Amino acid sequence: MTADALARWKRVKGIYDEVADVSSATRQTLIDERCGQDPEMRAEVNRLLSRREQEGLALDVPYVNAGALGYRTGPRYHPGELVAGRYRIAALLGAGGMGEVYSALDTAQGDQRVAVKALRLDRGSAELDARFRREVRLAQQVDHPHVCRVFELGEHAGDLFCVMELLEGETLFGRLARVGRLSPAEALPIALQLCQGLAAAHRAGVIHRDLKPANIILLGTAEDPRAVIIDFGLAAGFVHDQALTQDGAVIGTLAYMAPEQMEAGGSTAVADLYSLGVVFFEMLTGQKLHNAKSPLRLAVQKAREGFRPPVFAAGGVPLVWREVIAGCLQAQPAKRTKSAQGAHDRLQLGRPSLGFVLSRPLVRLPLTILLLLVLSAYGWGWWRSDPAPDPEAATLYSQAMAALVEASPVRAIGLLERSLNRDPQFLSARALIAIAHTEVDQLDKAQNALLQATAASDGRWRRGHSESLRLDAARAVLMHDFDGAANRYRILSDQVSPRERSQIHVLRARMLEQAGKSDEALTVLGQVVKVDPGNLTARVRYATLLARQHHLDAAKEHFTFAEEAYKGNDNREGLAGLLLARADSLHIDPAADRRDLERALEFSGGTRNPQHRLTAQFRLAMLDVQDRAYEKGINGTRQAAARAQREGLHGVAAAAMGDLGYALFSARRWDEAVIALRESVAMAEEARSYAILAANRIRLGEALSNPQFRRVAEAIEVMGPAITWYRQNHYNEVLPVALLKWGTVLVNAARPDAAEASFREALDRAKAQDSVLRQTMALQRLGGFFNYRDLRQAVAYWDDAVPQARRSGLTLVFIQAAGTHNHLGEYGSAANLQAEFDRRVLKLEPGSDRTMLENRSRHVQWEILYFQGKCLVYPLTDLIARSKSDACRPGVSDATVRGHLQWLEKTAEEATAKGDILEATKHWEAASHMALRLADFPNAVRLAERTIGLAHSMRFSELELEASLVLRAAQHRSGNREAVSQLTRQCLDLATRIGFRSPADQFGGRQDLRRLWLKVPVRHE
Amino acid sequence: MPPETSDVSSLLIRIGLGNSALEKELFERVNAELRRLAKGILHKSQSDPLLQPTALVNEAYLKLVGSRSVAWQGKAHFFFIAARAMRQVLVDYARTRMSEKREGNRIRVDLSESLAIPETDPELLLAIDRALEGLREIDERCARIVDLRCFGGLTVEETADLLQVSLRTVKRDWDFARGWLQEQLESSK
Repeated sequence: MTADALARWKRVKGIYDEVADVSSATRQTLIDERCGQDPEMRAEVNRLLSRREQEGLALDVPYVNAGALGYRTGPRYHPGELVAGRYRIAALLGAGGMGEVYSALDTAQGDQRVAVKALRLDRGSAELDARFRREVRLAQQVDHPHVCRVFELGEHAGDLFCVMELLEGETLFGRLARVGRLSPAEALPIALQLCQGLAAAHRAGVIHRDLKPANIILLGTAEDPRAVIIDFGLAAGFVHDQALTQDGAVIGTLAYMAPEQMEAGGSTAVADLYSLGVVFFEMLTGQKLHNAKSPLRLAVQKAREGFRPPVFAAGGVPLVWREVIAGCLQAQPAKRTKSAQGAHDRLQLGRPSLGFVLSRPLVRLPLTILLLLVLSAYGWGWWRSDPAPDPEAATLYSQAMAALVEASPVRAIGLLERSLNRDPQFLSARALIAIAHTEVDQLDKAQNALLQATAASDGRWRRGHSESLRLDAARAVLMHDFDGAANRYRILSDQVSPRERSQIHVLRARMLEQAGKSDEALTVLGQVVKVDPGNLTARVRYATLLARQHHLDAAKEHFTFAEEAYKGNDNREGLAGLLLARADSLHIDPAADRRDLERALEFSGGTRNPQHRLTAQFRLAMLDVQDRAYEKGINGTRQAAARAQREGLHGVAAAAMGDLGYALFSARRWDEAVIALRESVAMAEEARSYAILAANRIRLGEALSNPQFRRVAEAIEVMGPAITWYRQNHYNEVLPVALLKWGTVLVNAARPDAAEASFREALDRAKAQDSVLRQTMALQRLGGFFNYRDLRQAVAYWDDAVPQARRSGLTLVFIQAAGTHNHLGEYGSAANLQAEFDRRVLKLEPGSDRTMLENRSRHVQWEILYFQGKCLVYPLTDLIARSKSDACRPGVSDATVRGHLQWLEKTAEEATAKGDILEATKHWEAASHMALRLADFPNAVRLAERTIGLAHSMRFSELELEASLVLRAAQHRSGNREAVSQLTRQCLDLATRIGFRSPADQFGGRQDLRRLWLKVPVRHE
Repeated sequence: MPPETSDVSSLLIRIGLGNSALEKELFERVNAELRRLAKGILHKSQSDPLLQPTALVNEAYLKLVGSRSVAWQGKAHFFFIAARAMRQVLVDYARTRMSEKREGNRIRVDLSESLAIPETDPELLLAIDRALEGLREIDERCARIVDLRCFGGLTVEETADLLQVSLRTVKRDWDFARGWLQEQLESSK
C-alpha cells in the first residue's frame, strides 16, 4: 500500500468512525462536510457504511473450525470387523471426546453383547501408556451396579481399545437437553446412585477425572432409574506429553473441573466431588453453573473471578440439595465435602423420611403420619405451644450442660433424665440428651431421643427458631458432623440470653474439639473466660486444651484459679472434674498425676458423680501399668469395670478394658494384652456400644497381627467389621489411623491392592483433616509398602514424607527414606537423611527406644557404604538375612545351611497357617537360597517357584526378582538352557520395573544384575 | 531457552511492563503450544465443546500460564498473541493444502461424511491474511479485533472486555473491518 493510499484510508476510517453512529438524517450532511471536494472519498465512506446491512461477507464464515485445521473424524472400526480377533463390531453407537463407542459381540463369550470403545489417545510416552493402563486396571477392579464394568483394555492395529459393559440408555446430558431439569424427587435416586458408584470407585483408589453429564448413563424407568458412571480413569490417558504430566496437566472438561485441577495440581477424589457438585447443580436447575457462552469466556471467567459459590436463581431447589451442592463446590479442597459417601448420606438424610415430612404443616400430613404423631404425642402433650421450660428442669439442664462440657456425659444424661421427668416438653433437654448419649456411644438411645424431640417439635404449632437449631445440632452430632453442630451453636449463641450464651459457646468449643479443630476451640474458650471469668467449666476446659498444646504455664495458672474457686464454694464435684482433667492433660510428673487422681477419687465418693469416680479408678490402674505394676493395674481395671457394669455403664467398662489392653500391648505384655482386648471386644458387643466395639476390634487386630503372634487371618476377621462400621457412621476422625492399621494387616494377608487403597484413603483423609502427623504416618506406610515393589514410587512417597516428618517429629521416617534412596543408588541423599536422623536421635532421652533407633541408624550407614562398595560385609538384621549370608559364604558347613533350611521351611509353614503370606514368602525365598547352596536343584526350583507364585500374586516384585535369580541359577546349573534365557529376560524386566536403575547404566551398583545384563545378547540394544 | 524467560507467566508480566521485545518469544511459545495441541486433538471429535479449536487458545493459556497470578493486562496480551498465533497456524495449514492441491496429492476422504466438517477455502484464508496486514497499517485496533474475533474465537463482548473499550466501539470497528476486507477481496479478484 502506498503512503498516499494509506493516509487516505486513515482519513476514511476517521470519517467512518465519526458518522457511523449518528442518525441517518444528520449523517449525509456530516459526510459532505468532512469529505468536502472529494466525491470519491464520499462514495467510499458510503459504500463501507452500506456493507453493514450486507450478509455473507468473507469474515462471516468462521475460519476457526475443525475443517480449517484439518481435523477429520471417522469411525475406526466397521460393522462386521473383528477387533483383536475376538470382538465382532455390530454398530457405531456414538462418538465422544475420547473416541467412538461401538456395540459388539464377544465371540469368546458366546457372543455376549459388549461395548467397545476405540480410544483416540495421544500415545506419546511409555510412561503415560503405563499410567493409563494402570488406571484402567484399577478401574477394572470396581464391581458396582453404578459404575460401568470394564472388561478389557486391548490393542488393535496399533490403537488401544477398551471393552466395557454395554449400557443402552440415555446420557444425563441427553436427558437434560431433552427435559431441561429434573425435579428433586426424580433427581434424588440418581444422585444417591452416583454417590454410591463414585464412593465405590474411590474406595478402590480410582479417580474419574472427567465426571460430567455426558459420562452418566441413565437406564430403567423414571420411577426406578439406574444411573451408571462410565469412563472411569480413562481421562488419565488424555495428556499430551510427558513434560506436562510432570507439571500436572489439565485433564477433564473445563466446565466441570475443580479449581485445583485447573491449577494443574492433579486430580484427587475430592476433585471428582467438585465435578459431582456441578452435575447436581445442572441436574436440579437445568442451568450451567458457569453461564459462559464459549469455552474461552469460561476460562476467562474462571481465571478472573475465581470460584464463587453457586447461585440458585430458580426456586424449587430444596435446602438439603443446596447444602450438598455448596459442600461439593467449595473451591478449597480442604473445605469441600470429603467423600461421595458423605454427600450420599446428607442427601439421604434430607430424603422425605419421617423427620422431613413432619416439618411440613400439620394439616397436609398423610394419615399414617398423623397417627404416628398422635401416638407419640400421647406421651408428652404436643399441643403445648409455649416453649418456656419448668424452672427446675431448666436448672438441671444447665448443670447437665456443664457436665457435658467437662466430658462427663454419663452425669449429664442423669441430670437430663431428671430434667425431662420434670418437663417432658423441654426440647432443648431432649436435644442435649441425644448429644450426651452419642458421647457415651449409646447411639440407639441418641437416635430415639432425637426422633422423639423432632416429632414433638414438629407437632407444635409454633416452634422457636432456637429450638430447631438445637435439634439440628444434635442431629449433626449423631451424624458425626461436629463442624455442622459447632456452626449451629454459633448461630444459636446470638439468640439466647447472655447467661446461657457462654454455655452455648463452651458447647460449641466442645464440638470444635471433636471436629479436630482444637485451635478454634481454644479461641472460643479464651473468649468465654475473658467475658465470663466465673465460668469455671469453661476455664477448666480452656486449661486442658492449653496443656494439650503445651502451653503448660498458662494451663497451670487457669487450673489453679479454678481450683481455688471450687474450694472456695466447696464444690467437690467440680473439683474432682478439675483434678481428672489436670491429671489427663498436664503430665508434668507421674507422682503429681497420681496425687490428683487419688484426690479426685476421694471427692467423687458416694453417688455424686459415678463417671468421675470410675474415670479416676481407671486412670489410676493405667498408671500402675505404666509403672510396670501389671498385676495391680489389671486387677484395678477389672474391679472398676465390674463396678461400672453393676451401675449399668457397660460401654464405659468396655472402653476401660480396651484401654487396659492397649496399655499392656504398649508395655509388650503381649499375652495379657490379647486377653484383655478379647474381653473388651466381648464387653462392648454385649453393651452394644458400637464405637467402642470398633475401637477395641482395631486394637485387638493390631495385637493379633503383631510379629509376636502373626495371627493375620484372625486379625482380618476381627478388624474388618470395625472399618466398615467406622465408614458407615462417618467416624472420620479416627478413620485415618484405623485404615493404616487395617492396611498393614492386609499387606501381610497378601491383599496388596486393598492395602494400597487403604493407605491411600488414609492419606486423603489425613490431608482433608490437615493432620501433619497422620499424613506422615500414611506416607510412611505407603513408602514402606512400595519398598517391596517399586523403588521409584517408594522414594516419591518418602520424599513427601520427609518434610512432613520434620513438622510432625516422626523420626523413623528419615532412616526409612535413607534406606530406599540407598537401594536406588542415590547414596548422597541416603547419607544426608541418615545424618539428619542421627542428629534427631541424639536429642532423644537415653533409653531402650533410643538404643534401638541408634542401631537402626548404624545399620543403614553400613548398608550405604556396602552398596557403594566401600565395605565388604553386608550388615545382618535378622535370621533370614543371616541364613542367606551363610549360604553365600564358602566356609560355612552344609550342616549349618541344612539347619537353616529346615528352620526357614518350618517358619514358612507356620506363617502360612496363620495367614501371614508375606512372612511365609520371605522365608520360602530364603529357603530357596539354602537349597541352591546345597546343590539340591529340584528343591531349589520348587522353593523358588513357590516364592515367585506368591510374590507375583502379591505383586511384591523385589521378592519375585530374588527368587527368579535363584530359579535361574538352579536351571542354569541343571543345564536347562531354554529356561535360563527366558529367566534372564524376566529378571531384568523385574529389576527395571522395581527401579534398580536401568539397563543403560547397567543397574547401578547391583553387580549380580549388571552381570546378568551383560549376558543378554547384543541385539537387545 | 534460558530458564528465566521460559516461564510464560513471567514473560507476560515483563511484556506488561513494557518489554515488547519479548512478544516474539511469547508468540513462538504459544504458536508451538497451539500446534502441539492441534496435533494432539487431531483425532478428537467435534461434539465435545472443549475440543473446538477456539478452545485451543484457552487450553494453550491454561497449559502455559494456568490460572496463576497474572495481571489482567498480561492475560489480554496473551490472548492477542494467541489469536495471532492461531491465524499463523491456519495460514500455514492453508499453504500446505494449496501445495498439496498443486501437486495433485490425493486428499484422504473420510468414510463417514456426516462427521466431516466443511472445509474453508485455503485461498480465501490466505487472501484474508494478506489483507489483514493492510488493515493493521490503517488501524491497528481494527486488525486486532478481527484477530480476536475470527482467530481467537472471542465474542463482541469478550473483545470489548479485553481491549477495555466500549461495545459500540468494537461493533463499529468490526463493521468497518468487515466491509473494508470485503472490498479488498473483491477488488483483488
